[in-house]
Amino acid sequence: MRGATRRCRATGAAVALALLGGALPGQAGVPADAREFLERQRDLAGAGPSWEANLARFNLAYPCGAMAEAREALDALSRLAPADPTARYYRLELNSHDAGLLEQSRAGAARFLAAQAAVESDPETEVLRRWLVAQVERLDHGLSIEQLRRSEVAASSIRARWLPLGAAGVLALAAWAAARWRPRAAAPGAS
Amino acid sequence: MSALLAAALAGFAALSLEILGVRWLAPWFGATSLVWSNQIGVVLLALAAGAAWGGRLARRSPAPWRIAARLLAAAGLLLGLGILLLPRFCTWLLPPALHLDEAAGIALGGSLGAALLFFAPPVLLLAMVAPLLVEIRAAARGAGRAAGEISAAGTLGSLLGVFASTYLAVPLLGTRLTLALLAAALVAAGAILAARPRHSSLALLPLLPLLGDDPARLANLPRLDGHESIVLAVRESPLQRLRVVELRASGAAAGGERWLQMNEGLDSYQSRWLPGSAWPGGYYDLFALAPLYAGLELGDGACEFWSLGHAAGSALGPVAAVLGERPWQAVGVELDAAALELGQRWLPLAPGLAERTELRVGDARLLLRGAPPDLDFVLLDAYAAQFEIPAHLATVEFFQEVAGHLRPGGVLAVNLGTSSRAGTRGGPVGAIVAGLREAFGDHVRLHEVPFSRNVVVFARHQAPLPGLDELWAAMPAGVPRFVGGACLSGQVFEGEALPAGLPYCDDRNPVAIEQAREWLGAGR
Repeated sequence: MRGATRRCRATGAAVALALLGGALPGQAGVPADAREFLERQRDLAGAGPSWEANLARFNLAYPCGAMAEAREALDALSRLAPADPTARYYRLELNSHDAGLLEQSRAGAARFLAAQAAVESDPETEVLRRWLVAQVERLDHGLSIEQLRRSEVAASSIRARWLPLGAAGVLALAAWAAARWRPRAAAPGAS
Repeated sequence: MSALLAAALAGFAALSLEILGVRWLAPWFGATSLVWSNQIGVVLLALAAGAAWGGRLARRSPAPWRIAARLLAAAGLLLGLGILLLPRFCTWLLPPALHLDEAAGIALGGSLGAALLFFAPPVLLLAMVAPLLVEIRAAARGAGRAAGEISAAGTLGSLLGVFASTYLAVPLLGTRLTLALLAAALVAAGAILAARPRHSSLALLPLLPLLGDDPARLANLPRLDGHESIVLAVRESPLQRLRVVELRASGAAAGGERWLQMNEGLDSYQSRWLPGSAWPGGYYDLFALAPLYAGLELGDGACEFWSLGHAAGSALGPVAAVLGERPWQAVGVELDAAALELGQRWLPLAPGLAERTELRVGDARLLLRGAPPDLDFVLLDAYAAQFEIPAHLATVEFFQEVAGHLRPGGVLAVNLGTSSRAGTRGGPVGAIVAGLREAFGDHVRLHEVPFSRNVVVFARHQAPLPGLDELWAAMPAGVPRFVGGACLSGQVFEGEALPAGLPYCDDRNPVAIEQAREWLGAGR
């Protein structure tokens, strides 16, 4: 319980920053450039296996596209607190980049939103909860658009697969009709 | 004589359609080897069927000359109808916001279907003409001589059709106008040969689609949330169709990033330009690591490098930013002069960069042979038909040639587009990496580009690549943070972790088929 409160404070304190800057909870500002990113990465390497350290690792790596590092940090967060909503939201966020996990991500988002709707949070965690719900709703909206796009692509793929056969059929039909045509005799004087 | 001219016209039109067909399909389906194979296959099939059918018709036709004239005119009218309908057909088939890595399968079936529906019928009619003309001529000259003369005239017409359409008509007039004029010419010729000059007015019909805007201009425009895509320029070169697109924030009057796109466009670009920034983003930014790997952050001597597949020179900004005050000279090699021209006009380099870059037009491998033997690094970003890696730029022998032009410690940086992340583990990427290892030894390292399906591979000549710690320490200020993200161990592969494969050689090079297989697989 004490761990949960500490986690909540760690993320909750950062939510204020996140709400102000639109950043992720736990994020000490996005690094200005690669050098700053790498310096902070080096500092974090020896930070230990705590929730806070891994939260910071994730929030440094993910916005900079270091997906393997972000996934490693997230796995550590999930091990430390498997049911923690922040870690679950991050998992959804990370998986949303994987085209093969679209269905899974949408289902996960639906489960997340259903679970959060049933949560009775105290004032201390309410800000974080609301922020997470808003993020997952945004994510789910994006995923639904992507799912629609994919279904259009799939329909187009099916059309394209059968199209040559259909075209060949149309041509065969035209050829059959043309083969029945007999040219008329030449008009007198025509060369 | 009229028969020979008619045979030449039919041959000219048939082979022009083979070339123009691919160019006309390219804005929607691309001009990959798959599309070419479809078009050539369909045209050959139509030629064979038309010749056989024409032969049968010649035997039983009481007026072969009139039939031949009508066939020419009908081919022209069908072609005109195709010009009108093809864009609608493509719009129906292709979904909006299609990604390049999803498009290969759709392009394969779509281009085959389009070739069958829109190009096979007119080519078939044109191929029917020759046997009829032989029949006419055989009465006076004998079958053998007549067949030989008609065949020769048709082949010469075909020859003219191939070269005139590629080198003259398409660059000067554009594909659509060329097709429409060809269709009109066929209709007019048919009317004249049939001794019905009044019917020549029908030749105006194929020109009617020209009254509207060119639908190919807006084909497969990139779609970005909150942005609209504005086409700034379109050019048809002898090699490909090029387009400059500006992604303008919705409601903004001007400004925004610009992409130089080839053929089918979609969500990909051959060059990218951000107003007021040296860093175009994506894999271009990772080219900034080339001077760092070559140890150029130390010292202040002049630096010289070549950029192969230069296009608008998007790779120069990141490299120049890392080189800072250090003097440098570059040679940019590009196969398509039109890409250079569009780049200079619409994606201009930052002040100071263009002056230090000599542009050369030609094949990268051929021109590199004239490079000095002590280059500091070489950037390789050469693609044909959007995503096809040119076979001769993917072999061990080519990489050995590059190594021969690098000073000890010099670096080759290669951008490789893959169909997906899975592509980084084998297939063409594995074979190319294996080729690099054969030419450069174990001094090869692959970086995955964040949020992208590309990888950038670095190979160092006669020296080990600096460790990641050294790379981190050498990183100058101002490099985008994504480049840092690409330098973490999870994004970097070397040694046994590199994708493996059988290297391509000049003599044994299945890159085209392996790449086609990979991209077709990705679309499923």
